[in-house]
Amino acid sequence: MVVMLCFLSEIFFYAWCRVQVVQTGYGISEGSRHQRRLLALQRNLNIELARLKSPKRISTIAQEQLGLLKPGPEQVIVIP
Amino acid sequence: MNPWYNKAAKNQDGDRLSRRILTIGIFFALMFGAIGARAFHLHVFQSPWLSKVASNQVERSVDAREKRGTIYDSKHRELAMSIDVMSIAASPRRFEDAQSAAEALSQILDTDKASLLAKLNSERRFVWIKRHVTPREGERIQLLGLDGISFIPEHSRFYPNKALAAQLLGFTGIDGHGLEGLEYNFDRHLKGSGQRFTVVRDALGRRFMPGEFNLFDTRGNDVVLTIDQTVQYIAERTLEAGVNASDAETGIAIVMVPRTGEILALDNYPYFNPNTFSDFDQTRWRNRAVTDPFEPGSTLKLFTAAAALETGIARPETLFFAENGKYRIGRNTIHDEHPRAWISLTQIIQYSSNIGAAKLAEKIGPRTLYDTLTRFGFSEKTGIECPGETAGLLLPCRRWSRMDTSAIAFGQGISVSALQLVRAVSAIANDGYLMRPHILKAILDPNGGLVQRTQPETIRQVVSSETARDLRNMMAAVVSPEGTGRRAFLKGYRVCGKTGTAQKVDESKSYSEDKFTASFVGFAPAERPEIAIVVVIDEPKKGSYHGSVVAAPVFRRIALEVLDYMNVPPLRGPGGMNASYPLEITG
Repeated sequence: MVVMLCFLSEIFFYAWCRVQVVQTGYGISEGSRHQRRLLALQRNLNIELARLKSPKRISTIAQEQLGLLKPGPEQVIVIP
Repeated sequence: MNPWYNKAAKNQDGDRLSRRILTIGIFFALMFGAIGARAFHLHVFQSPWLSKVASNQVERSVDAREKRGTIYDSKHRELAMSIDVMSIAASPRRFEDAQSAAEALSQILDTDKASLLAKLNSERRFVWIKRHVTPREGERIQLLGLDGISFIPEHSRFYPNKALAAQLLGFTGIDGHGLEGLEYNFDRHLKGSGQRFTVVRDALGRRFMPGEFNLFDTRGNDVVLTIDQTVQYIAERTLEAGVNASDAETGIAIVMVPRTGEILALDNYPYFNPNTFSDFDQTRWRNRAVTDPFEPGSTLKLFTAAAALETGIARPETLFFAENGKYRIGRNTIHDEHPRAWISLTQIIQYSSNIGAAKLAEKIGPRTLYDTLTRFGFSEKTGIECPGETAGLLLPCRRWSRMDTSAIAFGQGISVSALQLVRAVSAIANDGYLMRPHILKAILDPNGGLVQRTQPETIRQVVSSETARDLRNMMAAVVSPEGTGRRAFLKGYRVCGKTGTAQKVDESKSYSEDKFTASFVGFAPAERPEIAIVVVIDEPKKGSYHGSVVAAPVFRRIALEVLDYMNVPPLRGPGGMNASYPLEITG
């Protein structure tokens, strides 16, 4: 009787372990998908950043919107 | 009953029973033996095949959608990168009403309905509907809920600076293979290794188990260039203005570091946008600074002078008779823009005297001139990492006539690339050491680890440091108020340069009277050159066609802005801002 109980417990424990492994596998897959989504978002933001940092865009904003000019050599003060 | 009979009958029954038991035992033994043999056969001999069959039911091999590596400038700013996009495909056999599906798809994708219908009615199992759709198009098609439509994730190349360095970077095709420029040249590194992954699926076809993540995130190597995005932008904007001001056909500008051979900017005008390269004429795709040779004109006089100085045939102050502006060689007559009598070697360069250069060439001879030009790297490829590089054209000196020698001395009858020209002038800036120009700084693996790095490479010393110094003094005289390159004068910096104006060969294979190539090549500051720049403007039509008028101002504006960007301080002290001439370089 005791041997039978041990045997049945072992079977149930093994089955529980297998179910846990599968569930954890699904969990990891979902986590990976979430990570991929975040990485995709990060990539899109990097692309947007690269576009915004374009020297042509910055130069246009500096000159046309802010009225900035390049300093001439005589205006440059070199700090030793 | 006879007891003996009974006993005998009993023994007989026992024997029969024993035989039966034995027969059944043998039968079972044979059966177990057969089962054992079969089990042994399956386990030992058929194990690999059975394992494969079993794994095929739960595992799938999938090709990784490897993302192309990024191309960075020298300060790690993105010049070319890959983005995630969606493509639409269909399984035509699964469509019940192809007509209405084609109508709905054509409205969303703005494509021809008839061609879509032909695709959906085809017998094929898989057809592309549209590659690389916009996110909005993808969402609208998803809302249609059409059975038989697949959304396939892919990568597309994106150039965030649009036309910046477009001819240099090149572009990729729809399948992500490099077709032009550096995209083509570094395709092997950028595209990755083409990995395959095994994913595990359950009975419902859902993927599980970690490891699948790599399937979507494998990447090729990144390429870091020596190009500086800001310097490139300065060169492009300035060159564009210069080409448009003179109503020229095309323009080239290269900015190089003389000491190392690093290319900071490599610019070809007119530009194109590599994001939509098929909308532009193919002639715009070419990296003409590297692939197209041109006759350099007077910029080549520098190397004629180098030959004379290096062989000791002349000194900077050696006088030559300039024939008062007209010099006859056989049936040909060479002219100078401004007639002069006696001029020194320095003045030949300063005033860009064709007659002086011809006289100099006669003195040094074709062999010495040819050897000097080849030592400066003309007629050989520089080895830059760009596809389709030209070696230029320089005929062997044994085939030169007297007129050829004179013409080559002032830059006609020889073809060079803009890259060869700026490299050769950089050797003068670099105390006579010729460097290999390079555009590749490093190749990095996806984790940022170094795969390859380019080190500065000295090809050879082409002239002594004394000759290089004398040449720098002559080049500084060119940018003096009396020199042809005075429009390249930079307030606060000492500049060395040389103008060039060459007649082009027209369709009739003779020198044209109205088609010219204007150029200016030089470096600054003269004391410790940080940048060498060449500007080539092809066929200027408005106003003057001379390099001194068309190309020198472009050089000046690029040099001024780039020196400022590179934090090279302007000159101070006695003479202040106007101390650029007279110049005596002693270092």
